Amino acid sequence: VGVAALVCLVTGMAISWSAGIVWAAALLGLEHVWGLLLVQSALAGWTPIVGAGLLLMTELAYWSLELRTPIRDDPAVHRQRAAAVGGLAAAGGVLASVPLLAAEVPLPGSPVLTMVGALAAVALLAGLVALAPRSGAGSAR
Amino acid sequence: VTTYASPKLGAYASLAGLGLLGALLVGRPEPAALAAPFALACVVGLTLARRPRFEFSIALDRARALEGEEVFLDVEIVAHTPIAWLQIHMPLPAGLEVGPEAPVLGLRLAAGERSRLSIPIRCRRWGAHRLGQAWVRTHDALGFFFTEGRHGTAGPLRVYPRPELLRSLLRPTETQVFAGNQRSRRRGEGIEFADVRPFGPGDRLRRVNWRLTTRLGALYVNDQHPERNADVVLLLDAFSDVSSRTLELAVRAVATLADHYLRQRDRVGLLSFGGTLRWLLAATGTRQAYRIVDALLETQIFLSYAWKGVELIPPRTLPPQALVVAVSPLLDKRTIQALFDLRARGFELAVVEVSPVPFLASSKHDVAQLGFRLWKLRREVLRLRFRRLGVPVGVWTAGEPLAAVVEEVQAFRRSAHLARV
Repeated sequence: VGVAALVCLVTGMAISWSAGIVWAAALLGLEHVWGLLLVQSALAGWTPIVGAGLLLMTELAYWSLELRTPIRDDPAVHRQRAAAVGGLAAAGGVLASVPLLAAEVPLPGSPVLTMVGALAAVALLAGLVALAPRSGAGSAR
Repeated sequence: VTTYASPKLGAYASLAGLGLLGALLVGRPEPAALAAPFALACVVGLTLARRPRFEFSIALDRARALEGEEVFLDVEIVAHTPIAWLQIHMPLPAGLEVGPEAPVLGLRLAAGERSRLSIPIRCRRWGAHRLGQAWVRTHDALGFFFTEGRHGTAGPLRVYPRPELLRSLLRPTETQVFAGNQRSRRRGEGIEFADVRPFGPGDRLRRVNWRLTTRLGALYVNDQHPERNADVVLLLDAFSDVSSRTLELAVRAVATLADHYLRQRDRVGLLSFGGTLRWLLAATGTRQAYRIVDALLETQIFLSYAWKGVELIPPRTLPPQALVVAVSPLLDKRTIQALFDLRARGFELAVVEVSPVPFLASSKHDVAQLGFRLWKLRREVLRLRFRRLGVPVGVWTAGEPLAAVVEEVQAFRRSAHLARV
């Protein structure tokens, strides 16, 4: 799976195929989860770092695609972007540890709780979709 | 201006959703932990996204330039909101290119910041170029949204062909009645001595040749050649162009000849003989020079299969006793026939052939090489046909000075005069 992810990433970077970056991130995430399920090892503690690393990888890959223009940029642009990406990855790593810490809380599992979790996931996605038009995605003036 | 969402946004949302649903499926928190950074990135990106507001203007520092010169496109941007990344792309028409030291065109602007850029543009080829609008692209801080649009409008840029150096010009056999710099064949009052003749009524005493008068015992006066101007019609063949180079050279030759003839106070007319027939009546002066150059800048090839002959040329564009200098690659039969017809009608004609040979693709195939040799022989026969009619043909190859061709044509005409005598 890791090799497949690497192939996707390299292909995506080589031919400017942005979907390859997403596939690479998905496959690497799948490999991590698969490893946890099969080995049950101490990999779980690394999950926030892996999550932050995946976000960093995709951000850098997308950024490199955006840079493929013959336009010379002010270095300040890239400094700001690097700081933003770094900050986002760090914050993502911190946020990724929240589910793991929450899982440590002893709560009785139930179908109701599972349903609440599923609803929360759907609500999050719906919120993202609702936010997108407000920001002007796809609109023309 | 159009706002686009980056494909990254959809990709991150998908990854976040996949992770959350995966966590539910496998009953473990790790997939949700992997999804959390992507969900955070989406939320932050969507929250921080703002439509950028800015003013953008472009202007050229001058509207006219010579070939090979550099002009500057001044760009001014005033940001009303913070812009993380603004990129400017100026699409340039063929013949113009951004100079080697292009400035930074990707900027970061704070709210209220004003930025001025100066983009050097090298004028590689003559022409009337329309620069149009600049493409401006803005990105938000994390690259989730970008806007694209055309902004500003730069005025047209007229790039004049750089004139070639000429030492002399083709002298017309016949001159006109106005004063100029050409030595007329007629006799009258002028500077250059022509002949002596017996004194006649009306002759001035100061023209008496006293040495001859005392020797022969009768009054003799000197005759001079008066200095007159001439009518020159420059015929530009706009029927054919090879690799977009022969027309370029032809226009440069016509502009050079027009410039030099007008400096000699000759009347110069222009006849662009092609898919569209365009002409300028013969006139003199600086205004005519600008008229001719402006007309040349608009010259381009209009494909036409219609047969066009000299009968389409308005008679006023070809004044009597005018010298017609044709600049042509001698490829189109319509032009060649029109030149023969002009000669048959008694016009004094000279041809500057812009050689298309350097711009032709070469082939190593034997048949192709044979065909090429035959084609060159046919062109040589064509030149011989012109020369038998007393029409000099000078071949101008790219990279050679035009002055050499003009000298060659002038030498042929001198020889032709001697042969006629």
